[in-house]
Amino acid sequence: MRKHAVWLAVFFALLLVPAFKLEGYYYRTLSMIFLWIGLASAWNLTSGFTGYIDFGAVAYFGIGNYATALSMTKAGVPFFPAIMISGLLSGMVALFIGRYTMKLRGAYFGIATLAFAEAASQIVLEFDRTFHVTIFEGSHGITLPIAHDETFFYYTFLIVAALIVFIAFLTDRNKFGYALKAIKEAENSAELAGIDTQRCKVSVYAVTGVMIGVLGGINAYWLTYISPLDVFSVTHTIHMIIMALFGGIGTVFGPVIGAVVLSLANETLGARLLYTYLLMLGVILVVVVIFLPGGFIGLLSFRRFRK
Amino acid sequence: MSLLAVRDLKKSFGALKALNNVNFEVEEGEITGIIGPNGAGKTTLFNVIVGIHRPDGGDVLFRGRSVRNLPPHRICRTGITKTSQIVHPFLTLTVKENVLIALMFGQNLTKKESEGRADEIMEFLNIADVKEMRSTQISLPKRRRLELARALGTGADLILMDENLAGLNPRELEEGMDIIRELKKRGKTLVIVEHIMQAIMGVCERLIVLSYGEKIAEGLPVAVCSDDRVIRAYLGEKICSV
Repeated sequence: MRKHAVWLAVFFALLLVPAFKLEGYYYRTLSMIFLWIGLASAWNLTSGFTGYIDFGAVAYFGIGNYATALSMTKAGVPFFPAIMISGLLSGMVALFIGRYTMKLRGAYFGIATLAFAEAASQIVLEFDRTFHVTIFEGSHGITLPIAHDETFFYYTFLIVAALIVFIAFLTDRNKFGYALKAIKEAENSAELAGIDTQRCKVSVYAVTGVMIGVLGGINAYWLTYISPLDVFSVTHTIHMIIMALFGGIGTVFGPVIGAVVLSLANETLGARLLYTYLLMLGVILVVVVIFLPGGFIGLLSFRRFRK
Repeated sequence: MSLLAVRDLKKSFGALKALNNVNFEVEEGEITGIIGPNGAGKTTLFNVIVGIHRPDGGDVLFRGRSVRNLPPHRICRTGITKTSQIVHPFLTLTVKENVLIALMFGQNLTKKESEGRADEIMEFLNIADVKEMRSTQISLPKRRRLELARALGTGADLILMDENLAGLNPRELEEGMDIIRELKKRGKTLVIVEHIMQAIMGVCERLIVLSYGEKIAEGLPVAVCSDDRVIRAYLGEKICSV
């Protein structure tokens, strides 16, 4: 219980940070970390809890980005309703995609979702040229209006990320969460115990879709410029996976730790050691997977496992 | 009306006819044993009844209503579940959590409502001492009990037990048989697949013999065991006399 109080304290401390009137750089870095906490936690909610490793999560990020960008620039929708639209649309697409892909197991699920994300990227990229319309603007990308300062995004990202982590925290303890874990451990046994596995899997996938979609929407307004190859980049998915793995897949706070450590590493080392950084990251990840299958958080709760 | 009626059940895997027009009925409160050589289709029969495999033909009626083509979780909530020969517990969860899951989803209870009942089930099956342990950490006999605990947790009236007593020492076997008799007293209907004839003869009121996907005999245990066809197909020697 004390451990959770620490997380709550960290959240409230972060709420107070803007009172110190830091330089813009720090807000941007922290906002980026919150974005990744949200993305990694949302990814982990489906993939970490059920064991269905989603290699196409970036599709919902991209859809979220474009839904907000298009609603704001083409339809004049204000920002907050726009990110709601992002969440809703991503969630609906996830519901549809999940219905079919969630019947696949193991690597096949990964392959299908990866293919879907790549297809989504290509559709946004080529749609206008193919049908001679101007909706997605293809590789030109979309420029959004600039209206807010850094603290606005700092708070928006912080609150959305905290909400996602809180939902994961609740799920870890409630009945629905037990269904997800049962699916991960032994899907046939879960069915035999009366769990509607397909429905649970699709539901959680849709929830993840909503979360990633909303984050995508905020991201579009934050960056003010988006293009298909950026927001649908498969490296985003890889980052979510690595962060969750590094911190502790299937745990509530593992992805949070993973997102903080790897975002900071990316920010500091990535800029200085451009070529060796990714190599180091690869080595670290291999070491983590071999020696710390429970992730970084597994170290902290080692006693529990040894009992 | 019998609790379970299996009608002309067929299931093939490629050219192999795992089940070929199997017919039988199970009455409420009865303990039925299913025996037969390896590959006779016993496990396949269970998997088709609980919905893991779709039958190619025939029907499964539970309380007179067809459960064919229902997914396993629906069949479970209708009242049929099984314990698996190869135990598949929810490994990283504790023994208690395993039982809680069956209670919460099989009977649609809240977590709070399930707590007390989980304790009661674990007490009954003598695994309460390991309830906080993860299911990877307990011995095989206890895992088999856990398998049964989960089946009980779902509240199903009909439990299909696939070699739940295999690999136990004589004392554990005795305990296992006592539990089966107690389950009957509690109103459960059991269908047991088992190779240990001592256990089968000790608890079953009726026997069904499968061989190469076909039912070759059915009836009272003593009568079935002295049936020539059963002796040739499975038993090899006469183990009991009429």
